[in-house]
Amino acid sequence: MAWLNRLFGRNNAVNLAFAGVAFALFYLENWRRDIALYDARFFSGWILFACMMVMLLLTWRKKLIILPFGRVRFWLLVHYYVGFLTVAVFIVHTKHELPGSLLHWLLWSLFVLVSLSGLAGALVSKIVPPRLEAQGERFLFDRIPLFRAQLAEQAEAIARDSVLDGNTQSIARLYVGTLSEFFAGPCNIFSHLAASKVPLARILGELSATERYLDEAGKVRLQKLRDLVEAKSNLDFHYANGGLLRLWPFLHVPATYALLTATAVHVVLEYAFAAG
Amino acid sequence: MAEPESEPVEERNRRWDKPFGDEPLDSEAVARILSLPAFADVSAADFQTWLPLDKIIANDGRLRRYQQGEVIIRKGDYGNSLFVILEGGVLTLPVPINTKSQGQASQPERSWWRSIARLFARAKPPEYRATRRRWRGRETVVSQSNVPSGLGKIDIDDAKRQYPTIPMQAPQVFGELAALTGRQRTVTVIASENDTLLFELRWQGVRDIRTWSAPFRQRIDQLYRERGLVSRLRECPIFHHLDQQALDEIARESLFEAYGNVDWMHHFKKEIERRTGASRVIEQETMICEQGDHVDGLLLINRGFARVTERVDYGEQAIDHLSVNDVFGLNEIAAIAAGATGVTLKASLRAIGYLDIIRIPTKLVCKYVLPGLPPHFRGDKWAAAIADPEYVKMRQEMMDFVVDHRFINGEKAMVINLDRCVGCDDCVKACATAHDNNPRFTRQGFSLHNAMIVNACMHCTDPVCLIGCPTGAIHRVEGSGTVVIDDGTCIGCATCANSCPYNNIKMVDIRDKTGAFILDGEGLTISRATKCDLCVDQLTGPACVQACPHDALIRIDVRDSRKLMTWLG
Repeated sequence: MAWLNRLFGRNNAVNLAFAGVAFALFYLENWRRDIALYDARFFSGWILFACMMVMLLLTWRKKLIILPFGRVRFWLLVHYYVGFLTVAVFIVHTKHELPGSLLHWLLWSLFVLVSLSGLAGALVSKIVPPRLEAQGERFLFDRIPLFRAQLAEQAEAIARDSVLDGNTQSIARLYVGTLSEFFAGPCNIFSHLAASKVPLARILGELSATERYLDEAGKVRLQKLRDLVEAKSNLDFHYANGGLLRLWPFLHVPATYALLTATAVHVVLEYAFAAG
Repeated sequence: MAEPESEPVEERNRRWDKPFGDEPLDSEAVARILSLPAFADVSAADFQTWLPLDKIIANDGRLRRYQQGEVIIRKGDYGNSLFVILEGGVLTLPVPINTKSQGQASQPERSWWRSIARLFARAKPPEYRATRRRWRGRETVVSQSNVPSGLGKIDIDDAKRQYPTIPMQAPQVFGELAALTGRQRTVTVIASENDTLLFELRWQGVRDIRTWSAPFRQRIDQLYRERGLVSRLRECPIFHHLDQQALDEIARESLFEAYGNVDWMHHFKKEIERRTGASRVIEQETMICEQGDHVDGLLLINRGFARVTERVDYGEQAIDHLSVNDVFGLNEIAAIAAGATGVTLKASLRAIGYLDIIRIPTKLVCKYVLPGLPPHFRGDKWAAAIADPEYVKMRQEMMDFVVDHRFINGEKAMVINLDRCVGCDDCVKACATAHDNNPRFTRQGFSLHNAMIVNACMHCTDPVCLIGCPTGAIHRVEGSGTVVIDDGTCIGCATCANSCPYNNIKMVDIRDKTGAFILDGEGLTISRATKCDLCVDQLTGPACVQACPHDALIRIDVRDSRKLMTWLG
């Protein structure tokens, strides 16, 4: 399988060319059947089904990971390019028309959902990792709640100390009013997805506004709090973007199995009610 | 079917559980071995009561009989033992031999059936180990090959015609170089007579006898100096153009020197945990020679790693790192040979951890090495890197990173490209699948920009984890050099885990099929050392690499800077 990895692993143009040639062959054969007055939809339907089965091989490759069937990277590329081919075959199969029945609407909707979620997943997988890397240290997604809890604990301790040791109220008031909620859980998810710094700037602005009421010890505490706020915002950024990487398969995979089930029903019904 | 009744056995492994041979040697064989010149003056009284000499010989040694032409060891394989010829004779050849049987005696079993069975096996509790249904020390390993070493057979007359050979007879010793250093065998050895009988002593036996017996230590070290140095010089590329006479003279005049501390890893771990910064790390490294010093011979790195630095203002900038077979001071000696006066060292050399060097006198370098030396050896690597657009020079920051953290030791380090990693953990899941649902690494580690060196065994060039293992459970696989742990002989002492400078070995408490911890006679849990074994028993190679869908994970020799930097992009 190593030569397959080498052939398909590096060159997108070669992969696209293969997909293009495969589609051209399919299109010619479909056209030949159409002008020969065969019901070409059965042909295009089975090709569509075959493409979907090939795409499912990625899942099986992942399950059979300790058998030498080539790297998952290769099968993901197959998944991508057969995916493009499948969309093209689907368009030919539906004859560029919208569905006319409830089952066909269901099939059409599921196919579009699977295709779009897959495309979105591919894009997200390309875009998000460099964004996370550029943000600094990478966190294990599953450990983010733990780190968040640690930050919340430290922030609460600073607020408490400011009252008990520093005999001031400003920091405690700020903590109760704004920061306790900020540290309690993930915040500003959509802003982080849009890479907006506005929510962080707002909170830091509130901290700066408090500075004038503090003595030197209080200012040191405020600086520590500022660092914690930035660290928490960083965690939220990782949570939002890392969550996106975790979330899209929850849309793509169930929709895929629903599509396969609907396809099976569709095949049975088409053959049951086929003329002749 | 009901399992046969068996006497309950202690589940904790012990030092003598697995003899090297199928059975421990009997007392007659032990007496014969101890009467050999190699063990003359080795006194049983020098040994501890818990580690008696006769038990070491009986358990760590085995007798093997070879027929003419059978390959005993092969050049390039990693060696774990030394041999003493008892009967017959052997021939040494300076080349690796490819036989029809390419088998490896110690290569773990790989089969489709085994992989499929593992995939569909019922899920077991974490760190499950089958309880023993056998008597201790009675497990018989049946060799799949007719040749004891599993390396096949060659035509001895052909070999004599094709290669220069050196004959050896009883009671000579061979293989001590690899057994002492854990490095690759430097020659191929074949049996030159039928019924050649050899005594093979595995390396932990060699180590223990060497530790407790001064005469044995002196004899083995003397052998190492006599033969090892010429072999080392011969395999070093800078001496490839020299004849035997020149090599012999250089070997006679050269000095062995050791720098640094053999226990460097404990100190290093503390410093890394403190994150004290690069300058502190550099300060801790022993200075071998300093920039501006008089040139005192050519320094050849024999074992370990060194850092080449230049003074910049008040600090030192690492400009290169050296490992086995690299040399220091060649350009300066070349300048002296060209007639320059007042030549001093252009850079400093520091030992990273523990370092063995061979110091070759300047006059011999001028006399033998420089004439006929290919020009690329004398070029400045730094300047060459800038001049050659194809050469991807390791960026300063990355070089500091891999040298300060001593990742340059890693031959199969797991590196993740964070620009591509989506955090799907498919690598960890694949690792778990390959190891009965027990992942052998955690997807975390030190990172610089988009490179993360993951906490997974790096299968080091100089694996310090091997040094202290009392049973030899952690060892190199002969052919590939992969560092693996034999679960059947690991006594759970955690010496390897404590020694690993990178915290890549984890101790786990083993469980039975119900998920309960297995306890010893005193009611204590039983630990075993675990780590990445590079999926040595899998058909696919490392499952983590196979599983990564985004080409974000690679197993790489960190010293291969060109490949690393190209891959990181």
